[in-house]
Order: sequence, then C-alpha cells, then structure tokens
Amino acid sequence: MAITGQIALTVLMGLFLVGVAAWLARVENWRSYTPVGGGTTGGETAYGSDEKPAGLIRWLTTVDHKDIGLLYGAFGITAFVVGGLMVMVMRLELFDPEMTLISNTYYNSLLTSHGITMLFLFGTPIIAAFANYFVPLLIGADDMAFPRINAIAFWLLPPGALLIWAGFLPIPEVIPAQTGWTMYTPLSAGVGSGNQANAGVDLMLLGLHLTGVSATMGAINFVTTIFTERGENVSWANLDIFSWTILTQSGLIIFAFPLLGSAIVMLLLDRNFGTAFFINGGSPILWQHLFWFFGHPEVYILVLPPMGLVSLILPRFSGRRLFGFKFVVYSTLAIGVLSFGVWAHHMFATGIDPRLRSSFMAVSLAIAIPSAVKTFNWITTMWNGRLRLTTPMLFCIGFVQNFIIGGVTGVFLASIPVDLILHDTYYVVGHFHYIVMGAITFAGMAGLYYWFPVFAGRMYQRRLGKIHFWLWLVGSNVTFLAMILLGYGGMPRRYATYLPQFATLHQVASLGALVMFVGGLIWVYNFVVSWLEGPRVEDADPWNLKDNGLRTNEWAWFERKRETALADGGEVDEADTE
Amino acid sequence: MARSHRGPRFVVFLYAGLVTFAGVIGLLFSVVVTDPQPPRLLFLVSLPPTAFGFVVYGAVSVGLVLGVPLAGVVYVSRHVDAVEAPE
Repeated sequence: MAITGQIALTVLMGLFLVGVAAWLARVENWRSYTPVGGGTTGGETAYGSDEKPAGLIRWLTTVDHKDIGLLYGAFGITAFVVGGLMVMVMRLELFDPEMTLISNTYYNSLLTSHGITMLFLFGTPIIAAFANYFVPLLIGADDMAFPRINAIAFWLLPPGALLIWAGFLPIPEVIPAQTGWTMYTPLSAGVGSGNQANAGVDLMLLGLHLTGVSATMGAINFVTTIFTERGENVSWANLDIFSWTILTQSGLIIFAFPLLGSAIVMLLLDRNFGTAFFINGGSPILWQHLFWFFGHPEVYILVLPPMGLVSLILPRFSGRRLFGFKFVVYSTLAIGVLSFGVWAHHMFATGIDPRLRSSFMAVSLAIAIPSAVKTFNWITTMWNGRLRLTTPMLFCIGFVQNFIIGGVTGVFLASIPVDLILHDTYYVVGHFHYIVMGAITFAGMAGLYYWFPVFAGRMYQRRLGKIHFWLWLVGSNVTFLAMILLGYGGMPRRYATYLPQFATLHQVASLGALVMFVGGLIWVYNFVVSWLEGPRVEDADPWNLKDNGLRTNEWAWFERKRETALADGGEVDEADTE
Repeated sequence: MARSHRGPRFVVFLYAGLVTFAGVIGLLFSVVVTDPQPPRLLFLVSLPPTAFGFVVYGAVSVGLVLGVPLAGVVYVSRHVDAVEAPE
C-alpha cells in the first residue's frame, strides 16, 4: 500500500514537472534571448521589438549575463543572511558554558550548515555574481560564451540549497546533518550508534553535489568566455586583473569540484549500497585526502577573485595604477598551481608519513610568498597614491588588514610542530574566519559598494556605508581575536558547551558577532532603501575615475547605456522630486 | 566626494596598528595561557614569560616581519615605481 502511494506520488510529481515545462514553453519563446539580439536568428518571435519580458517571467527565463549576475547576487546574499542567522543562534548559545538555548545536536546541525552555506551557497555564488555581471563588460564581450548553460548553472543552485537545508524543513523523520562541513568519515558514513545514517545527510550530500555541478558549468563558461569572447582591443596583455583571477579560479574549479563530486558519490555509495571506500574495511583517511584535495584549492577558489576585486578597486581610490600588475598576475597563477600541493597540511595530526608531512609543510609555507607579493603590491600602490576613503576603499583596506592577520596566523599552522598543538582548537577557527569573513567578505562588500551605481542605477547612503564598515571591522576583529586567544588557551572547536574558564572570551566573541550583526542590518537597510529610493546616478563616472585615467570598460559601458537609454514617457520618479 | 589622504602616512598608520595588534595579542596570550614557557625573540633573545615579555615578543616579531617588506615598499616606491609612473 505504501509502495503504491509512493509510485502515485512520483507519477504526480512527474506530471507536475511536465506541466511546468509546458507552461514555460507556452509563455516563453526561448529563442528570443540570443546574444546577437532578440529574435534575429529565430525568425518571427513574439519579442521582436521587446528586449525582455516583464515581471517574474523575465527572471525565470533570462539568459542575459547581467540578469544572471543579479540572480546569483540575490541568491548569495540570501544564503549569507541565512548563514549569518545560523551563526548568531550559535553565538548566543555560546554566551553561556552550559546547554541553554538549543540542544547540542541542534548546535552541531547549525555548525555544519553554517559552514556549508557560507562556503558553497554564499562564497562561490557571490563571486559568480560579480563575474557574470562584470567579466563580459570588462573584456568587451556581448555575453557569456554559453548563455543557456549559464542560466542552467544558476538554476541548479536553489534546489541545491533546498537539499542542503532540507533537514531544517518540517519533513518527517529527516534531521539536519551534523557532520561538520568537512563531512569526515566514518561519522558521515552513518556507521556507529549515532544518527547520521539519516536521510538528511544524503540530501545534504546531493545538494552539495548540485552546487558543485553548478560551479563547474560556470567555470567552463568563464574559461571559454575569456578565451574566445574578448573584444578586439582586449588582449592578454591588457586583460584586467579581476578577469585574470576569475580565469585562474575557474581553472581551479574545473580540477577541484569534480573530485569533490566523485568523493560525494563514493560516500553516498558507502552509505546506501554497502560499498567499502571509507568504511566496511575501506579507509576513513581516504576521505580526508579526497576532500582536502578539493578543500584547500576551494580556499583559493574563494579568495582569488576577492583579491582581484581589491586589485581592481584599491588603485581606483589611490589615484594611480596598480603597482606591479604583472607580478600580481604571476602570483595569482602561482597560487593557483601551488594550491593543489598543500592539502595534507589539514592532516598533519592524522599520523600520515612524516616525510610526506614535511614536503606539504614546505609547499604550505611557500604558498605564502605569492600572497605576500600581492600584499606588497597593494601597499606600494597605496604608498605612492592619494587615498580617497570611500566605502569601497575602506573595505579594500579592511581586506588588506584582515588578510595580513589571517595570513600571519595561517603561516604558523603550516608548521608541523605548531599545528600539532593548535590543531582542532579555536585558533584554527579564528584564523580561517579572518580570511573568509575578514578578507573575502570584506572584498565582496567593496565590490558591491563600488558597482552599486552600475547595477542599481542609484547611489547608496555613504554615511551608512561607512558605519557598516567600521562596525564590521571592529566586530570581526573582536570576534576572531577572541577565537585566536581561545585556541591558545586550549578550547577545542565544534563544541556547544565548554569549561567555565573560557566563558569570558566566548562572551567577547559573541559581543563582536552582535556588533557585526548590527552592521549587517545597516547594510541590508542601506541597500534595500537606496535601491528603491536612493538618488539616481546623474553621472556615468560617479567615482571620478576619468580624472586619473583609471576608468575601466564596465564604466564605459555604463556611460553608453545611459546615453542610449530610451525615454520612459516622462514619468516622474519620487526620489527625483525630493 | 571623499577628501584624499597621503599614502605614506596612511600606510605607516596601518603598520603601527598591526604592530600594536600583535602586542595586544602578546599581552592577552600571557593572560590566557597558564604557565607559558619563556619566548625567544628571533630564536636568540630569551624574554621573561610575563606580560611584558610577550608584548615585546609579539610587537617586535610582527614589527620585523612587516617592517622589512615595508622598507622594501619604500625603496621600490622611490626607485622603481617612479619609473613606472608615466605609463
């Protein structure tokens, strides 16, 4: 009876999906959005004179790189808010040493989902947002090389997110995964007396797989676009630094994400079909090798484009060109290559061969050199410049500052003897949060503020932008410094409860997180209100980049767009009358 | 539009902030860690395992680690960057 019901449900779902496809095919002519212009290659279309349909249909069917960039942005920011709320619940729980607000298992679920959400649903998509919107503009391309694959890559993300978060949804007998974002076996294989054999873990793994497929499709698209779609006047020699970092990042994705996908499939087979890759006589350490072969390049997948953003934006407000452009490009490529030779530094404490450890220590220390080269160039750019402390510039400087702290604390972890003491302590959490939140997210904010006039057509409230920056700078340093100190004190990571001696530092960390939360509220308010009611941009060069000859292609496009905009019939915007 | 600031002054301010930050970590380290061993500055100079010792250790170590590249920044800014500037 139950099986009959399931078959009926499956058939019903299939019919529903066919119905959706038929409805979309009816309301939309897919040939109307070719890169060469609406309907020019597909004969007669319903959109011969209209560029895009209006309303929801536009966003569901678009293959325009700018629209898809905005979709990625909206998705990434939504995930950032979800992940941020998750961590706020965790920090509130950690305000007290005992289990008070939530259960320990729910804390583990939030911890797992916070990590995966921030890395896979916020980090990678928000970079894809910038890349989709701006790389074609920067390199003078009409669109991405494969616009439809671009759309498919994005639309894999929402179901991926739903699967990852499925355990939190009210689905009977499905609980959230509690494996940590690294999903170490044998815990994640569901063996033992725990509850991780639950379908919630399978759903999370499938969701993760979808996001990996999405990232890989996007990466192939970016590589092809940058190689084949550049404008006539854009050569390799004058390709902008952000596109260089996206090209390198895409290369890393193509080599790293399929490996994660394979490892996930192996884990799913172990969990559901009795294979023996990681359990049943297989090697749990094999998972760590496979995961970190993906996982450490993933760090650079996340940090290289933000470095590109800083390398692009920081000189604009220093009133001069980036110092040592070629060396910044070379260091980007060097990081890309070296990133595949450092994975075992995450495994120094697993008992792997000491000779192997030493070689990984050497490469891990060596990868600090190209990162230091970039920092050197940013500082030199500022040294000989005249700095305008706009909000995007402040976030770039915040990036440099936090990146130095995160980098220096990371160099110590590359050293085997130090790592063996600090492994699995809060020191590691503080270090990587300096990089992921203090640096990567700061650079993302620099990009959002810098290009806000382009994608919103309006200007944000400058004072609120600066308040946001200072709250985040103070909040991030208070939180992550407290974590570093907790690690020195011996506080292990991933625990919902702790000894009373760690209470003060945990409370300081929670207060810092609260400061960041307030900053985040101000940022959301500023962006929403400014997008709806902010003053319209009256000048295609809102940052006065022309004065120093620093205007890049996307601003030239923005100027052309404004000059060729059609009149809207004279409707008066409320914001213009104020 | 935001008024402009001289680069060197700002960078030195950033450098001083990071060195101070390292000193603060040294100070707090001596509070958080019970019974620490005496630090050896540059692997050579033994400092007392007190708050003062760790402040000096943190600030001087990071001051040197960042100061030497900063001296490099000053050098290339005067001799190399000046050549690149007209481009």
